[in-house]
Amino acid sequence: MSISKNRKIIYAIFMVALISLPFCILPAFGRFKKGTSLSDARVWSGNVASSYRSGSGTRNNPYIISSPEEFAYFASNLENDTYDGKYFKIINDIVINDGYFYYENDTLKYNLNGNAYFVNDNKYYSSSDFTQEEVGTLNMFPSMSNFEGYLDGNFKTIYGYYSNSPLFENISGDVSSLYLNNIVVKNKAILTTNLTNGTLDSIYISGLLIDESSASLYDETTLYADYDQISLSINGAVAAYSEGSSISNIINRASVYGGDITGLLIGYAIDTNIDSSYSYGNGYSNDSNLIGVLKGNSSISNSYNAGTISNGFIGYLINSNLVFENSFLTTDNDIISHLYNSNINSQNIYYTYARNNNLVLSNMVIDNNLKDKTYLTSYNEFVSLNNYSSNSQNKWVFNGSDYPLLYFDDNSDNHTKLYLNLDTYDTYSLFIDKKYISSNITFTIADDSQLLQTTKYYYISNQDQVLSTSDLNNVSWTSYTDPVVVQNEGSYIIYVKFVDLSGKVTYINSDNIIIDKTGPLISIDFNNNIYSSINNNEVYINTGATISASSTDNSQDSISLNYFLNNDINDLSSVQWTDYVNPIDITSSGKYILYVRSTDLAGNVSYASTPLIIYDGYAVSDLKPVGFESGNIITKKSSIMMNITYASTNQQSFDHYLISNALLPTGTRIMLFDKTNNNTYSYTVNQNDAISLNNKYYYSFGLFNLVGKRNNNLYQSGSVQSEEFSLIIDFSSSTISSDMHNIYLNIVGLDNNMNIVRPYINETTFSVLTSDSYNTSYSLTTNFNQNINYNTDSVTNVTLYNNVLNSQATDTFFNDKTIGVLINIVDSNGNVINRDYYKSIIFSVSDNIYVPDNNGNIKINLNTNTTSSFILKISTYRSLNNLLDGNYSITITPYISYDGETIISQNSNSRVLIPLINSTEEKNYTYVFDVTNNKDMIYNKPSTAELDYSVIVSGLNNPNIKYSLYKKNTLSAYNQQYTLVDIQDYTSTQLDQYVNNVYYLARRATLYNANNPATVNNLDLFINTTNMLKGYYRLAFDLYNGDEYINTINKYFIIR
Amino acid sequence: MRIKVLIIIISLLILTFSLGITYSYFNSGVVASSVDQKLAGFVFNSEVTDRLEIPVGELSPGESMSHNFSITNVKNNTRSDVSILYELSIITPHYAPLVINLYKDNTLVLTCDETYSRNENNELVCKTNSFELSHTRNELNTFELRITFDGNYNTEEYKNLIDYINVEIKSYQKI
Repeated sequence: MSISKNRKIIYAIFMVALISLPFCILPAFGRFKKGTSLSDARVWSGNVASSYRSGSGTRNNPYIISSPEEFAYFASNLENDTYDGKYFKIINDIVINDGYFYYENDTLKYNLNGNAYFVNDNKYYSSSDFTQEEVGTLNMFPSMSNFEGYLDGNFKTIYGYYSNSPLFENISGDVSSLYLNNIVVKNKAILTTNLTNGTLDSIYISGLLIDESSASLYDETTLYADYDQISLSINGAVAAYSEGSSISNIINRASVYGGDITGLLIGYAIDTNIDSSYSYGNGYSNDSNLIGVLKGNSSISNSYNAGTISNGFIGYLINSNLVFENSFLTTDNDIISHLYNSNINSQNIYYTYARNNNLVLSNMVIDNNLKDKTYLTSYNEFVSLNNYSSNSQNKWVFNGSDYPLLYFDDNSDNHTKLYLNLDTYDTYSLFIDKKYISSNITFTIADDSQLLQTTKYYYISNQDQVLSTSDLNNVSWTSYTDPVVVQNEGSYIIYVKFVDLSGKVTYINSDNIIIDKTGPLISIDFNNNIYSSINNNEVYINTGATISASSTDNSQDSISLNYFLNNDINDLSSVQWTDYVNPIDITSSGKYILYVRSTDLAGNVSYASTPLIIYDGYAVSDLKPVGFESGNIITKKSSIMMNITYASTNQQSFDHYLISNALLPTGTRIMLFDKTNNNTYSYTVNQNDAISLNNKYYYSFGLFNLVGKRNNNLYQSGSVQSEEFSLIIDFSSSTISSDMHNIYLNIVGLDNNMNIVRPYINETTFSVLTSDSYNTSYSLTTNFNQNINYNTDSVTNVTLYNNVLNSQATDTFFNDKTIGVLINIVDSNGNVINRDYYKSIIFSVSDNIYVPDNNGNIKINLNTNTTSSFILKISTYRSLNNLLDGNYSITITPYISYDGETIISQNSNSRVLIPLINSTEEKNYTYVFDVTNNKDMIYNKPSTAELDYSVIVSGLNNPNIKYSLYKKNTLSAYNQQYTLVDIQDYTSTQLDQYVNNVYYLARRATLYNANNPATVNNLDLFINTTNMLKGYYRLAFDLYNGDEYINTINKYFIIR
Repeated sequence: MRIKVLIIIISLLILTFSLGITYSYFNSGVVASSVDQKLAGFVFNSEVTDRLEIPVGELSPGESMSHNFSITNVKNNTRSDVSILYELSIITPHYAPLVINLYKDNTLVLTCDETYSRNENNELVCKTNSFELSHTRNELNTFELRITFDGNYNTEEYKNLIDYINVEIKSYQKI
């Protein structure tokens, strides 16, 4: 797995995981990349610095150790100071010796600059017998005494420590985050002899521990005694002795030689907690274990041994209460070899080799289970450093081929890397990405440290599955010398094998790299043609079409497909691409060009396009009844209109024809507006003119006459480009007698042989319904049911309702008309009375007075053709006239007209009749009628004036008295014109209304009896003059006998 | 046709008061009442007007009525010790077709008709020229206000009309 793209890998692998098989576990995530390359570090000069680089030893300001000399200063100060409570931090790698120590044939050797030397004490020789002159002297770093402070290794490396003593004699403090690499100690431990009430965390150890001591008598029973009484030589790669301490996240890859009992983690531990620690180192002592002797109250969790041991996970568990969980042994050894007087609380303890007795409850599993994170569920997978900082249990890396490794494990001492294009690989993994590139593969193999040279080989595989390590043992490796280039398209995995100085073989593999230099092949299917490249041609069509697109790629993997539909040729750099999902339908006329882009996973992009598609023909648009916004069903008296255009500019010569799917009725009038040439033509259909062909009817434009010319000129066809017409088809004068459904008209251009030269592209239909029931109807109604008396002063308001009813068919004939009412006064024989008699009766609507014409007809234009209502005010006046007495009728008939005057038709069936009664006969009444005013007649503003009148009536059998108020129109004495006003406006008294502005004084007047003065009808009314205009007023008292008018007495008063 | 006219006339000696004359329906008679007279000599008040309303008889088209009054500078045998100038104003809304003539000492001095302008009350205001009463001698000016119902207007619409006439006198000391 690559190092440099660790973060991207997280996301890439996540996507791979999402589409992987269900049982597929997520591959290993990126591993922690420790510090700088050792080749950047400076080798210890042997000197001791005089101070730390900086710091005061506090938590927030620790002592900074930045060089081997400062580290030596640290070591020297430890002679006198345990640094209890002090904080230290290492910021650079510490190289004590830059050569590489290794054990070969039981001999300690030192490889420096590619040369192998033999070590003897602090010197190294070129011969194994050390007889030749020494080649050089090794730096012997002093062992550090008791440390009780806090040392943060900052994941730096102490490299090449060579000593007869461990790095520390005793740690009672805290040491963490430290790499101890290429360490050689000839003693009991590498890191510390004793770990007493201390803490070790996140420490990596590799190298050699050489214990040259051993007991003369190997007596195991001494192990039951206290530690200081044990005679056996106990060593530990990390610590020889641990008491009351905790170690966690410890990785041991050092091997131990010699001694009696070895713990590849800890030799002898009492009251110690061990967590998340493991060893791949090998123990070559008499009795090698992961933990040599364990006593007291201890715990072991999430730990395992994978190196060569001779005894067990725990060699001797004595007098111990042990909590033992989530741990396993991968070698053919016992979990616990010897158990004495101990209690074990265990769970999830695994082993892979059959045992007779592990002395602890445990389970045998297959080896792959111990590499499977879905099995080892207590080993939480490492996600990232950020994640780890808040979830410190997420620290285990699973790569499919190894047991779980801590995230900071440098498991191969691997400084050899595969550099492939821009990626770097340094591990072998079964879980790889598939990467597509459109370029060559260029790779190099190099060491990133001069200190660690390896011998390198490579193998280029065409398989896209990772070869197992056993397969790799059988491939033909090529020795690597120079950068390698792979050019051919194909699928590759690059394998690297490198062998370090100890002969250890390590593999690296790349991702599956697919070289794909060829762009996708696009296929655009249009009009029975396939287009696979950019096309600059034109093609004409006259009907809708569907364009579909697809693409394939030689990589056989998913590719993207985008499209852009435009109406003209485009610069591809400015295109807005849309993902292609479905075929594109061309349904309306216009120009179209479809661009398609396809991109494969390697980034190769291909383009293709259709030619410029010109979909054109005569196209009908905006079909609608004349005068309406929409609709395609009309009555037989109506007209329909449409626009017909041909948009393209290709020049053609042909004859124009009107084409229809129906034989138009004779008498149909067609107006043709040639907007291109600004001419208007008309034609009245004669069915004999139509040319019938293939169930269509053609009407030559040659039948059309040019309107507005002295000599009728027929339409002349010629060479044309784009064209624009409007048509109005008027059926009102046609002979249409039955419904016509789904008719279409269009224009078509034909040559002399009636072949289509310029087609039409749509058939927009309409229907004509012939039943009169579809015509818009209008009628007049009223709720008024009274009589009006002629020759009386009266005002009658009659509400009339004008009802317009439309059908499903549009009636254009009605649309441009207006409705009016025709008023006549007719006698009992239906004869219209002379207009002179209209002087005593006035018809008005909304204060507009309408007078009769010479024929006694009154026309009132209602200025509407929709349902409405209006009030017809009929005012009668008493006057001398010699209209014969009798019963007349006011007839009100609705009609339609263009201008409100000229009647096109009237609906006599919907006539309103109002009875009008004329009676001028003087009745031989002997009656008394007098009005006396009882108050002043001059009133000043503003004031409340009292109108006080006494009215006496006698001699009638059914008298009623009405009164009304008039105001003089002018100031002049010589003009006695008055206007009726509403007296109710000037008084708060609720008056008894007869009609508008006329009120009852007495619905049944009291007949005067001279013997009874009370038999008087009184009008006693208070009026407020504030709102009255200054002027002259007339109060008219009208006497009726029933409905018969008798007489009027006027009384005047002045408002000033 | 008859109209009922209320005429109010006041005779003034010197000082000012206006005569309010109110007309009513013509069906009742109108009686001229006595008028008030004020001595200018004792109470000099140049712009005091007064108004009286007195109902007076009725007129038919073509009929006339007259009302006489006089203006003098003597009251209770006491003559004004200053010369007086005075004007007469006839004020009427003229709702009825009346011909209104004013005679001074049998000479027509004013015909009040609709050629005159109207005030804010829509009344015609017809003014005479100024007349003088000299302090050197006792003077008496006689006036006749003659009102005639124009005989050309005899239709039904002119029946029962009411109207009124004010006569206003304004006097002031001649300087």
